[in-house]
Amino acid sequence: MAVPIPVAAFQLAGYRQAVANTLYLNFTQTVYRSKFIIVLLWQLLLIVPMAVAQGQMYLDGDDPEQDCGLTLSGKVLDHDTREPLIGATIYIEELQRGTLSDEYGNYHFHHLCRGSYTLKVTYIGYVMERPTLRMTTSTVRNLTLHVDARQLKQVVITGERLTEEVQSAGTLSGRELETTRGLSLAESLQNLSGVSTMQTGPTISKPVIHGLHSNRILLLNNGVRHEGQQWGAEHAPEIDPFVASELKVVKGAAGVRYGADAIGGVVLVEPKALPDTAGVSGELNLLGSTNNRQGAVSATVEGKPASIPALSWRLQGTAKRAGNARTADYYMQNTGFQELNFSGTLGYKKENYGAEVFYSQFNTKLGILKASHIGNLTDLENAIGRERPEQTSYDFTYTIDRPYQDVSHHLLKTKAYWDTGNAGRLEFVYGLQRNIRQEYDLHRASSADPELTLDITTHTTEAVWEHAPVGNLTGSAGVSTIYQNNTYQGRYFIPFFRNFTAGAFVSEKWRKDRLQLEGGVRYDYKKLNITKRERNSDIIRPEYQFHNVSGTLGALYDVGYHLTFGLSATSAWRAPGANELFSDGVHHGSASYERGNRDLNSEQAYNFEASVTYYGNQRLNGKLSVYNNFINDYIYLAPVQPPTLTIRGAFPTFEYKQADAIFRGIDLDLEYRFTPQLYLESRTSIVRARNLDLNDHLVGVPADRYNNMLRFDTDRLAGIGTSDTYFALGGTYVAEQTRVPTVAEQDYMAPPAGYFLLNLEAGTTVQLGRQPVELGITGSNLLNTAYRDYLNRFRYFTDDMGRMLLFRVKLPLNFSGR
Amino acid sequence: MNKIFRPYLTLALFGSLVAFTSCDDHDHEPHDHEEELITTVMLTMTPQDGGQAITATYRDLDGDGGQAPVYTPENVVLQAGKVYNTTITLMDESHHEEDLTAEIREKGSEHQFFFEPSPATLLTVTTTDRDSNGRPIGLENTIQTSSNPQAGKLRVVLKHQPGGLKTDNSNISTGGTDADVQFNITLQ
Repeated sequence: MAVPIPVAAFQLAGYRQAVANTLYLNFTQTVYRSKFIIVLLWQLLLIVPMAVAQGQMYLDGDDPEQDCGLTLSGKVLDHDTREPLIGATIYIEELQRGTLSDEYGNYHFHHLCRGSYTLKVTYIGYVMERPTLRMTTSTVRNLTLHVDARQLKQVVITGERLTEEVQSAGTLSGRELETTRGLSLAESLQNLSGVSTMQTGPTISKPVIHGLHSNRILLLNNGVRHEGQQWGAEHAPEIDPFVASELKVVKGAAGVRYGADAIGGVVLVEPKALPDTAGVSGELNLLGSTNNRQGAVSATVEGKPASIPALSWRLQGTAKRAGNARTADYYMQNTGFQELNFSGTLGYKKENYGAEVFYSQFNTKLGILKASHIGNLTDLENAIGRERPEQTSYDFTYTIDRPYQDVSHHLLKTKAYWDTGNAGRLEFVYGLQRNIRQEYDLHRASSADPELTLDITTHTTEAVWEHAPVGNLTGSAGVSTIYQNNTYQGRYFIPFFRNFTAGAFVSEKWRKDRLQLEGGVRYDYKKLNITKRERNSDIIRPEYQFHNVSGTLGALYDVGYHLTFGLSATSAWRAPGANELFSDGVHHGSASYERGNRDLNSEQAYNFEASVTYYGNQRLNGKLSVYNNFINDYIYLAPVQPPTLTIRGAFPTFEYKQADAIFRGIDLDLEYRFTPQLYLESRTSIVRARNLDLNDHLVGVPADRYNNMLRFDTDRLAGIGTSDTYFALGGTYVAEQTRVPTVAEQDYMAPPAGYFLLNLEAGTTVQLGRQPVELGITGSNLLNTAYRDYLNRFRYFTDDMGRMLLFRVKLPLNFSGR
Repeated sequence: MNKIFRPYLTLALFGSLVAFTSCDDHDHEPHDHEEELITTVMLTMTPQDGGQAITATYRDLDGDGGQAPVYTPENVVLQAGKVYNTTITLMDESHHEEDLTAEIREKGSEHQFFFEPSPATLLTVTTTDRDSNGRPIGLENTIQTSSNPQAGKLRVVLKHQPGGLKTDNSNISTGGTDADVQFNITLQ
């Protein structure tokens, strides 16, 4: 559709905020009316080109083609806030008739005949909706629209304030998500404040939230907690970000709603809702990059048969291939990867009930930097002493050699829900996952088999009842279970185990006027059964049981003047993992001997957060959040004496221990608009972590991170037929980590120096005939800076990646022939 | 309602079946299998001028960690000023005795032994075997002991130098370490 010129979008954003504020500030009716007229004007501007394009068009009442006497009426509302949308366009495609909603959001069509109609509902700053309806009698139908996050960023903050939890969260969707296409899940998220990435060379990256990662954060893939071997620092999440239309990060402990392990936060990977209008459509994404010469194709096809309107479906697939990645000066040997993923969704949706089946498969083969496979401490010291990794070739190739990982992940999800009307909504989700991880080592490989295969199957169930609002109270209650079975073949790393977890929670939110209060409580029980072969060949079968209560409390107060204060106290717990209890061996790549501790207790996190949001302003908007995450019995690897003697010499030895720890920090998001099109976006993430028992810093905590981008958005470039054009230039500065443990040596190399990376984003949409084509480019490390990151586990061996330009082409497809 | 849930139940059931055919075999017991464990390094030193062969053995039967490795004898006694023909044997004795020496010899172009006596004058090691590229391997050597009776150490390091890392210039710091053991030596 024709998109209004950005000035309109901006003014409307302010306008919409004004409407929101009438509730609080009692704007006078005059202001209201004058604004209404402005909006009406903009809407007319929008309609006129449409009318021209359509050839002929009638505003309602002008010249009805048929007169059968039925009336269609209702309100146009914001989906989230339920506020009426004034001046929205409602257009009946079959009749080529349109109208505008009035100042109370009402619309009406008269003299309609019986039959099926497709409505096209548009409003500036909102995503267009195309509901279909069947008219047999006069009908009242309310139409709801979703805010278009891509167009009105400052409004998104407002929306969150009104609808979400007090606890801070960051979201990537729309264009912000598009610019990360081609990157891994963790790399996509690292531009959010409070989020960083832990890498193992260029092929493996994991998200870090407020300094915590791996089994201390939870990934929800399409509503199912992602379960693989996530405890491992070099085990990247097996999720295709192309599935997502939104990535959301809940920062800080969030155990009540999401269950065990959400100590540091939660990443939610949300796919787009299934189509709700008949027809077949899709999109094709093509990507290519410099540096590792990555090529990727991702395609989606979705539809809804006109004959069975309750049914809808989607098929999606992604294929990626990349060769050796390049630092500023050389290619890193054996750092290519391949990925082949696909998913399918089938939905059945009636007015009050529905069901959905989702299946996805993720397959990857990823090379591990050859020089990182070392034998002992001397080898590691040699590697640290080298300028560049010891390689037989510093050239490019797509070939993946040993050592490499071959991982596949299957997810089957089924969901059913029932809207009871009076009692609320009941939803049931069952997830089945199987994760098979094969690791191929470098050493004298005598067979083609992997040296280690880990195989874990997980069943998850969740039943949630979201009760209908009672007065000002909304909320939900639910029960969930997890059953897990882990086996392995090859060398010992973690034992066989079975794990059963059950939990129940209640969470309520009360909102009145300017105040929002929320509270929740959860109880979890976990049973862990281990089967392990001891060194003397005896089989032991210890059983562990854990009980835990988590809670959450939060308050949000809107003081007026576009200012909101939030306070929250949340908690979460985590049982020790099988690796922490039972690992026993040399950790390849880090030249250390890791020993489990069979007496570990569960750890419990208490997260306190205070936030200030300044929103809805013409120039400056932002959010400041300060958090304190106390973790009781934090499990960490502590150096112990004596070193372990092996045939390859003595290894420094680490054992899992527990201590109270604290992770505290600041997240700051700022946006400053110089003009409606030109604005500065700034994100700051600062974390401090301490071992309170030793009164020492913790190892592996992200360094201070500052991200600033100057963005310019424009709809049309003069004289060229493009739309949605944007350009952004900025950089990321990561400081040197100066806070490292001093009580006992825990690292073999001092943290690397701070670094600055210059980045660029640009994109536009061109129209080739009737086909829109979205073009984009994302450039990172434009200055080709040679650097090493403290959170890259391969910083002992090699520099990080040099300059990379990622080119994207996206074709939205419509097979319905319209 | 029944009608709706039937297809999804069928699918779920089908999916579970597919996923389960090979995974819930928990009651079979784990068998650890380290692909390329070396537990034993044995030096057999035969005096060139005849006499009893002397062996020096490093053994760590349970692999990395667990029981500490054992040197037999704790102190290896050699004659001062003598030449010994020395062969190295590598074994995996963790489950049953498996001689790995032939495998190393076969992949000699990716492996090399290095010897570091301390003090450096304690003895001189000359490698006599060659890989397919004519470079030393180090499974066969001669040891010339110093003529001065003294005590010292001999460090024996086996390096894995795959994929072309082993060259005429490669040295003890090239590649990854497969074995790094140190024998106490007394010259009489």
